[in-house]
Amino acid sequence: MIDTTYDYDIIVIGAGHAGTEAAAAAARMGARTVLLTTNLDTVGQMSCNPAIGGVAKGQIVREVDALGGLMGLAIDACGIQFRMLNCRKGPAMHSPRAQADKRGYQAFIKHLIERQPGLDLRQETVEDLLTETVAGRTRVVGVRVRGDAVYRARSVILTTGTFLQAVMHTGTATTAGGRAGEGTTGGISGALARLGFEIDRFKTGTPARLSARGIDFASLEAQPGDADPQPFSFLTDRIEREQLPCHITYTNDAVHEVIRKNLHRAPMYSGQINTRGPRYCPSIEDKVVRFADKDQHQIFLEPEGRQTEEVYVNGVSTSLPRDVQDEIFRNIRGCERALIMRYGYAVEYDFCPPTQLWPSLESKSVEGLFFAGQINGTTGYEEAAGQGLIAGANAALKLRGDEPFVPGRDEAYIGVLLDDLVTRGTDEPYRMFTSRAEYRLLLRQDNADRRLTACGFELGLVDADRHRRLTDKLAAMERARSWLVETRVDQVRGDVYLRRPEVDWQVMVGHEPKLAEIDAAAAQQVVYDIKYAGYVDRQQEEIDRHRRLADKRIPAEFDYAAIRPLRSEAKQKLAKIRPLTLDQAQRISGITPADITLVMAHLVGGRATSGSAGGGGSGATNVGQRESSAATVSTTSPADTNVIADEPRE
Amino acid sequence: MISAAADTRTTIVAIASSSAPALRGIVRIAGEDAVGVLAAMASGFVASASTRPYRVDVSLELGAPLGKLAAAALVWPTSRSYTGSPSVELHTFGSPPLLEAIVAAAVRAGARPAGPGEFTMRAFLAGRIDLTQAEAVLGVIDAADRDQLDAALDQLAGNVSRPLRSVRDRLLDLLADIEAGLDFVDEDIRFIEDESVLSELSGAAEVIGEAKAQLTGRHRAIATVDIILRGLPNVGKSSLLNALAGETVAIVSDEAGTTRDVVWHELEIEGRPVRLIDTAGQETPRDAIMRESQRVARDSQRTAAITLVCVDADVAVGVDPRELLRGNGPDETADETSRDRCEDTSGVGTRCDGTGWLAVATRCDLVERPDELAAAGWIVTSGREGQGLEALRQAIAGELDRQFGLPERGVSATAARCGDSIVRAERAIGAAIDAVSTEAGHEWVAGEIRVALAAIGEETGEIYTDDILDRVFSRFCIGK
Repeated sequence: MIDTTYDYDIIVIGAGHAGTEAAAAAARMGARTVLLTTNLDTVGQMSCNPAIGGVAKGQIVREVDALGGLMGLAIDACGIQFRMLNCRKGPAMHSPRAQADKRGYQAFIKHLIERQPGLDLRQETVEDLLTETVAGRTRVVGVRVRGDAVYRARSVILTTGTFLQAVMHTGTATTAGGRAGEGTTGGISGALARLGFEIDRFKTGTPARLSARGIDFASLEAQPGDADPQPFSFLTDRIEREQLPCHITYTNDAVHEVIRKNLHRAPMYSGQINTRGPRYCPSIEDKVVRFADKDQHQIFLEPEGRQTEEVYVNGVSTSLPRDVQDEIFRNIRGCERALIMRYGYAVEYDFCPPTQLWPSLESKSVEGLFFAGQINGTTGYEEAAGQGLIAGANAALKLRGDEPFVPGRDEAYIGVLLDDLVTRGTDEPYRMFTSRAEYRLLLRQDNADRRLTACGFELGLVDADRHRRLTDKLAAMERARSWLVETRVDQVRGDVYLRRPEVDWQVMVGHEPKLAEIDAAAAQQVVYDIKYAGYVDRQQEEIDRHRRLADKRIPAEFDYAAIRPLRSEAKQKLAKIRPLTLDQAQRISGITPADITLVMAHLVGGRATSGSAGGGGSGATNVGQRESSAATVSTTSPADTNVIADEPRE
Repeated sequence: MISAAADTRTTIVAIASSSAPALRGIVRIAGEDAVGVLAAMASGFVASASTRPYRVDVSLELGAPLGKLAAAALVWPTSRSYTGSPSVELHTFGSPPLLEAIVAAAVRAGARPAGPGEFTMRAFLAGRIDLTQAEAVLGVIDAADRDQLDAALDQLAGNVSRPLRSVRDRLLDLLADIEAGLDFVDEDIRFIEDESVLSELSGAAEVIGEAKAQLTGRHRAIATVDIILRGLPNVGKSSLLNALAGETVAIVSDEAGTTRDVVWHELEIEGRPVRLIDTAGQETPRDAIMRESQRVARDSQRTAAITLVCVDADVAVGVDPRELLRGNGPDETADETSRDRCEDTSGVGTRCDGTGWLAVATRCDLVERPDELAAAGWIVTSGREGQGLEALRQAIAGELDRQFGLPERGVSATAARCGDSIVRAERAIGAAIDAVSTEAGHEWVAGEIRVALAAIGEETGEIYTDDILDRVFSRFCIGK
């Protein structure tokens, strides 16, 4: 049997929100990339909520966009209702969210991928990962796909979402598959197990979809979009399409009674599912049990698109049996006569605890194998997209022999995400919150371009056009600042005057008409910079305090076992996580100040570096640390390759 | 200190009791071979097979001329000890030379003299104590008086960090409520009202304020040093004391020899607590009472950090102040002052025991040319006119700085750190309250609470920063 072989630099498996960003990022950086999906018709699919953004998530989308990603452009083109959440709070809390035309979004993403130079999109079912082991070090060399074909590449990015060993539950009915109507990817699970990856299991759920035809919208409170919808992408000037409203309804005692009566039929309560789900996104049966004193729960009815009657019922994620789901909606105001077009279900799936990864999202044990998205135990399109972009960029950087790109916790929500995942792992599907970001006052949605675009341009993630927009904005801000400084209002310098709470930009334009020339986005940055300088300075103080530890690097092959007085729990944890800096080390749960002192002492003393040299070279890098191993390893010829592969399945 | 942290296995030894003469003395040995070191020092000692701590009487071989010395040994044979490694405490008489001989014997037996704070650092690294407790260990040992001792013991028992811990807990709860309100804006739940935020913050501010008062109060609890005034009777020592103290303490009269007992006054000089001791004038004892009075005076002098040698200005004219200390005085203290060496001509000198003296010309309001005295190296003063007092204070402060370094020792190490972290916490809580009051938004409130938590965490040892550790451990005395 002769395999057909294809050669690429990078293979991305899975074309969801992580995979599409990963593939596009790698291709933007010049890597010859192939994106493999089991189904070309589900590229960029919104498996759950037809919405992008939200608190903290919206900030991530802005960051992805600032780095040249797809998500912001797609939602701007396909959004049907835009809202800036938390508007009454300060700018750090402003979070864009938009309902998407689900089909439109998918098509838009797919089209972006199809048009991306250097990127091939193919429908393939990956059956196995191909690796080779040279001198005790394992690296990925490609994948085998169904139908006797092999793709060879220097790096493989796994973004298989919930499709690993997935089981869907609706009541007692269980179906193998990661998403309604689709199968599962078994071969990859087998390969990961064979390669020694620790695998754990999560569950998540999705609510029913109703037909709008039977919903009595007139009886419900409408939630319109913003009058002045704000785009997600820094490339989008304005959103001009007509917006659709969502509607709000509530559960009630009758609904709760139905649920309580049928709890024994809920897989989560009958023992059929005993994996962990997200606490912050409980199923309706969870809400009724855990918050028994609440007599109602809010439900958002969200249209799934402009050309469909399907309505997503946000707030009643459930895995109760069909008849119970029917009965629930018969008791909800406005939905009494609505047809369930798709029933809600819970899905259990495998994920690889992300503590097995370097911050670059490359595996510590298999060189060149990157993981992004839900396979890392996260949830959410935005979290997936952020990881995908980072994995794609780092796979490309590795090809070049460059250091990985890992934004810091003080630079991006994406940085917080990466650090949390690889340092602390996660006990439940990981979702971003602003409270996870200790420097959130700096990580605003409005300044994502100022934080990341220049860096993205340097890496090749960002094109010249986007970069020019940033430099133009920065120049306009500079002009505005100098005009403000020259302006005098009540004998006070303009920039000082602007600090007063009651003074806004329009007031300043009144005093200095030239300022009217400044474009709104640049003006907003100037205003925020001036008004919030005090808070920003205080956060900067805290950042500087941490930077001192972040600057203390720990070699990848550091031998914790050699620190005799170190507690064995600390030794185990540190040896597993292999933190790159003391700052990262101190965030590992259960690591005490005393442990850090010991490690620091040994770092200073130059001891404890005698351990196995082979183990940790690959990927043991962070921003600022040079990666040198990639160039040498890849010279192994295919003939020498000891391909570890299962027999093709029946 | 870093290198000491790197090495927590080597067996170390140090005197663990106060450096002053005392009834009991303790030498502590800790490290993997602590028991082996004891076996090498103590003839006939056989280590117990027990893994539990035990007590055994030993006979220590100190070598000639001391020979054998009986001591009680407390042995912790496993790592379940204060320092997290096998440890031995040797309890014996509190004679400093004897204790030093024991340390020397332990070093001969393979132990290494401990560095400053090394025992405490090991205890900290072994997770036996938190940071405030680590500092308190030193405070207990160094406590100069009952108040300081109580404060240090209190701190050791966790009574300072405990309320801070509980406030930290409450702030964490509060923060969680606020954060929930920020992150879950789409829920129809009001997580916390401004009113509750304010009352929680005020409660926290109160506890932090109390902790600050407690700890900064202790900042002043620097060991008080003695300064003694010496000189012939009726030379004006008492007037000088009164002038420095700003109130009448000593009985002042024109009759020579009024001061018949040690009279002292505690005051601060440049932020340092000192005990200014007036003595009976130096003269040949006329009777038993005088003799006794002067004996007490001389005892005071032995413990004084600075001796102010007071000479009447009109006598001082033409006299080299150093002469006075060479034993030319008209009294029997020559044997003592003859040990003094003058190291410069500025009227400030160092004695061979490291204490200092200042040559002070008193009652210079009674002489014509006080500037000549100053040129000769005298510190020219007048208790009555208040002249030269500032110069004297400066000279005393300078000498204290020379002897003790900057005024941060003992329990005050905590205070110095708190000066930073507690003040930061207090400021952050204040800013949080402002943010609530001005409706600045809960994200600012949360930001300030985070700063406060980080600061409190530094104090209670729950958050790590390297500079704190460096500072704490560099201030520890040997063997504590």
